Amino acid sequence: MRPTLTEQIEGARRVLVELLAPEVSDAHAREQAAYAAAALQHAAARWPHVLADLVADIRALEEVLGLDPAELAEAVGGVPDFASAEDYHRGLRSQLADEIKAGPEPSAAVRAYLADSVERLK
Amino acid sequence: MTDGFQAALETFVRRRLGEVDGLRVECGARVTGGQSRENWPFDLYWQDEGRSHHRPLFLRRDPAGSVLETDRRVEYEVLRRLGDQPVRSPEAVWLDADGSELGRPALVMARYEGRNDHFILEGGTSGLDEDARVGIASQMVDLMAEVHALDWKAAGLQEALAAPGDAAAAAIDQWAAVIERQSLDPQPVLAYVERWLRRHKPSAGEIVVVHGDIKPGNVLFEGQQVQILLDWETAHLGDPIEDVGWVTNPIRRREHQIPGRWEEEELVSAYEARTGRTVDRDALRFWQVLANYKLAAIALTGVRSFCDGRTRRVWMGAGLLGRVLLAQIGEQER
Repeated sequence: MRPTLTEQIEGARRVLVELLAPEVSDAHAREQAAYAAAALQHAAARWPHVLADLVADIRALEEVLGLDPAELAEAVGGVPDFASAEDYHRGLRSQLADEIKAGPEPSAAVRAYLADSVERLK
Repeated sequence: MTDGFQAALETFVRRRLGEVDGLRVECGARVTGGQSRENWPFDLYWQDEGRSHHRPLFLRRDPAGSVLETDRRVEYEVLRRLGDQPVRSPEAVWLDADGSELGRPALVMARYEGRNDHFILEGGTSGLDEDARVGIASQMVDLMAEVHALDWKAAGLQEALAAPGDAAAAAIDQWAAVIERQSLDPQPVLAYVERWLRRHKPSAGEIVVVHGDIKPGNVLFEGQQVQILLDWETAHLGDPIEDVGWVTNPIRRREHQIPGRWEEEELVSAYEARTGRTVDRDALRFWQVLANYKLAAIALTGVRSFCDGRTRRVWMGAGLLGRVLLAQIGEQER
């Protein structure tokens, strides 16, 4: 659907950068406007990939934790609802963090997951 | 500065100067760049016993939400004790420890001439040639050696700062606690890094004053001379190699190094020559990893401040730092 979310975010960023920021004389406010513009740019670039990356990370976590992949479907009622998927993902990450802290030396599979996850979860 | 803040500052100053004539407080615009404190330059003018006075000052106030939890009272007490020591630190003037006068905790210090140029070593706003920049890089090492040479017991710094038995263990504990307290999400990568840090911790050794954030962005320059080292909010007693690891952190090369002329090896060799210390390279790698672990804790504090609505800046979290940290650890393991 047009305008896409990317186009809407980019439109808001253009207003901030091209119309509002040049009118701001206070240096601190100008600096904050630049940070806000950068955040919008990041959001516009990232949002189309977020759900796919989240699901991929959930699958990877289930594998490394030895869980049944069907748990996601159960957790989110068969619908890829983003908030439910995020909650489920947070629970899995918490479980992994606890195992790393208290468990034996992390396996090669855990280390591989960690390396892959920092690429997915930017 | 709002009218209310300006009025509060005038009252704060009057309480400390006492009965003087013609007191005028002129506030400048908030200084940009600092992410952890609000920095406000201001000038005092008054008459006393027939003489006119002018004092340029600088107010550092806690913001509503910061990336770093530090105590203005500790910073003030450290600066006060450094006042008569052979180190280029700013003079601490006044303190509002609990924020009851200025809205939030704040300290006032003397303001100095000089310019700030965060990326001076890569050209920055000064446009210096390479030889001049190498000269400044060398002075930055002098400054670090100056901090580490302080006789902290004679200065009484142990009254303001805890002296750790094991500096590396204390640093891991401190930043792990910040991550635990501030993070809004589970952090398996940082848990793994913490595990690595505990396994590779250097043995306890010499304890010195560690500045904690030495960088050109925390220095004032006059021409090609380093004038003064600012921002002592993370100063603590610890291992001298912590500062060396901070300034050789691979992801901050732009701030501290000059490609082909002043890289990690030159910087460390210069530090060794100035101080007579031998920098153990395994300990240096530990402190470089700790530097990014600390930056991750700072980023996560920023995320919480933003999500709680206490700051306007959107902090992106520790994702990039996680990638860097895993690479650093991988390099160490090979």
